[in-house]
Amino acid sequence: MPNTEYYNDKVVRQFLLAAAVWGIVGMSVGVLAAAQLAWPMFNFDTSWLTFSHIRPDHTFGVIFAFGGSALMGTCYYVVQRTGHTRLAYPRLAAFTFWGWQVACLAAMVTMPLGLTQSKEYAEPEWWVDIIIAVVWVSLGVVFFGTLARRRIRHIYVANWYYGAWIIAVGLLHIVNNLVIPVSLSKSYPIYSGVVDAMVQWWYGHNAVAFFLTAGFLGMMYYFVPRQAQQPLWSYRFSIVNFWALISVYMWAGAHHLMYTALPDWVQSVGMAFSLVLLMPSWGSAANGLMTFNGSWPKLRTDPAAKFMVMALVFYAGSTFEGSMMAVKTVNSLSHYTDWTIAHVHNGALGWVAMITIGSLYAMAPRALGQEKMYSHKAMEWHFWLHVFGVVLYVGSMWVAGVTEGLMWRATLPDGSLTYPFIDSLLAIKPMYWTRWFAGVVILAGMVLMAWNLWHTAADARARLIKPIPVPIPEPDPHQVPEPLPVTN
Amino acid sequence: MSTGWSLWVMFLVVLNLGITLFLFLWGPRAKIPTQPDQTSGHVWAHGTIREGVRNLPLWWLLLSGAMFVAGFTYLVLYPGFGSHKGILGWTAHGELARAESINNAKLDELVLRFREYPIEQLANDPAALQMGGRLFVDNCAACHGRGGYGNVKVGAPSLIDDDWLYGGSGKDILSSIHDGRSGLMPPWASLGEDNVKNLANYVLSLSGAPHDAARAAAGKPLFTTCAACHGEQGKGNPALGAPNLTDHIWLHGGKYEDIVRTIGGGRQGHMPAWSKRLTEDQMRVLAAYVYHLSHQGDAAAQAAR
Repeated sequence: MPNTEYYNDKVVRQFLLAAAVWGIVGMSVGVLAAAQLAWPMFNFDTSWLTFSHIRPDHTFGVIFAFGGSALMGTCYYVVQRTGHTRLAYPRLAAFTFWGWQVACLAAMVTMPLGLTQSKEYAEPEWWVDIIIAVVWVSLGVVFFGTLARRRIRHIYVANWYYGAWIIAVGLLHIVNNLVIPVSLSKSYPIYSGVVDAMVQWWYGHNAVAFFLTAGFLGMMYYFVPRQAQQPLWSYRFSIVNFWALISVYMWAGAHHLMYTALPDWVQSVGMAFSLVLLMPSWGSAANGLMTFNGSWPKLRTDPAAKFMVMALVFYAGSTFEGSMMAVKTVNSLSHYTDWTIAHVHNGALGWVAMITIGSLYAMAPRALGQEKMYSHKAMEWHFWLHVFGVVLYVGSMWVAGVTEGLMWRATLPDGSLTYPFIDSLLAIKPMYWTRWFAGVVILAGMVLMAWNLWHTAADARARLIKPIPVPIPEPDPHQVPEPLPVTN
Repeated sequence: MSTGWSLWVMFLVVLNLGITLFLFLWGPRAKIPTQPDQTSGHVWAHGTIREGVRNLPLWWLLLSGAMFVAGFTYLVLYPGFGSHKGILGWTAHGELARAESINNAKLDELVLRFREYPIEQLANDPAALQMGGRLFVDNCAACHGRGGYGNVKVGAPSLIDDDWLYGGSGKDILSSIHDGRSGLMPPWASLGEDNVKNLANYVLSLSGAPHDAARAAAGKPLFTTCAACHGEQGKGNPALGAPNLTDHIWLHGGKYEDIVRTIGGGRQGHMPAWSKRLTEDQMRVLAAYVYHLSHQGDAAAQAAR
């Protein structure tokens, strides 16, 4: 057999480890932030530990450090499998791992110290942004380089999404972070006023679109059919959803700035596109969910599949919620309240975290040379802890958000305000306690996952893993494979 | 918006919604080669990944169609399609003005009634107190506390007692709110540490608080300097905002150490002016509420009688 090429899974395993660690770090900071909102004494009267300083650590930690590591790891895993080829530029791939960890570490250390651009989800200062940009371009070179040397002519849909993720996030990151540095700790944006706000939310919204959606849809499109052991429901549906998502998402960012100084027409365009956005959102969710048709009994036995199905349900739910919140009338109630927090966690914990966890549980044993994860029971526990935590979290923040929205707009028959602001804070206190508890439950699940991965990786730590050979020559594209294959 | 920009916006909207509409119309009709097993025939990942080519579900087509109709209708009715103003003529400023006028119409009746009363009388009006209470908690409570009991840490006076730095009539209170107040107690560390301690003991003796009698006696002659503002008897002077030192009420703390620090280092108090932020009517209602806070005891006493 002329088979001498092996998959490069080392960098995949490194990203897997990083994702598990950053997941715990990012969510721990989140739990602390939740505690600070419920009980201010947890600010400890220490400037770098106060809510305002650690909040960006939470968001950056879970989105870019945890989510980013998981995305890069699965991206490298998927592009090799769906191309029947080894990763291109192995040294550059190794650089993307170490570079990304350095960038995340630099961001996570500098932000609490007060080095910030004060742009939501783009807080790190200019020199951290440069590290991120260099790593990102390298990631693109490795990914597209690997794609270029693929042995299967047709590019699988997961790679379209990973490609969109890399191109769009690179563009967003660079344009939104155009600043004039004045020192290592300070820079000024080249935009001002309402233009700065619009660029920021063009970035912010499309970070959701192309980082938290397109990237994780790439994950979904590979691991869902893999775990369901069914063909993807529809190629036709994939094409329609992908291009609709690409052409619509970019224009919806203005819905983050409803009823602000942004011109009316921009707000309206943002709202109209947000409504049409429901089309690719529900389309992708349906394409994933219906792939399980014929495999539903697997949900009884396979926690990874359970995570994926639940993730898709939350994806459909939170995208519907998002489109509705973009409607001006709804937005006037929901904006600036905890409803926004409910929505973002609906998406981040429900969709992003669950599809990631499901995919990690599906990928880890294969990348770590095991038949299955170390503990099945721990995965089951993780699933129920996570679902319970998310429902509690989102539920409590919905209640808090609607309460705030209604109390702030309530007027007495004489036209004066019914409630002083502080009354709305007192009213939602129990919801803040509940949210903190929900966070603890979710974090416990993440710790369980890390423990499980650590044991599954026992052989990897002992360097006992046999590299997986790339099948050469490729299978006949028109063969009809037997159902339920079990090889790697 | 210039014609050029307007056309550019229209172009982008048509292009992007157009691509999406095309996909929506083309998707169900597209001819995609299908293998006998109902898949596209594409195979990846050692044969584990394949894909079907099923047609788009009807519910999804209906949902998407509805969203297109909603989006297009919205851009016809509201501003958004380039310089097209929308046939409803809606603007955010217009909506705000409408909402304000509806609210003001309700409020006007009440406010006109309030204008007829002096502040002292307004303090007995339940509607005024309700409105004033909201204004107080949203604007004043940060320093003076929700209940108006003050905060010695920032030198915010209690508003529930009968002790007034700048006078407690309705007019005085309104003036404090309207223009703000700046209190200044100069530092006297130049007198020497010993003299400051003697003075502190003398000040404590004015209100009959425990003190060192010998030091108080030594401090008494020095008090002539302080009397310029606080008065010969230390009863204070509302014209200057100099506090009364005989009443056990302390703006910056009444412990010996606090008073030593006050005399040695001086104090600055700052109440911001609210005339830029609140309307005249709001400030009057607020003054009535504050007046009411310090006279709650009277009402209780009257009821008891």
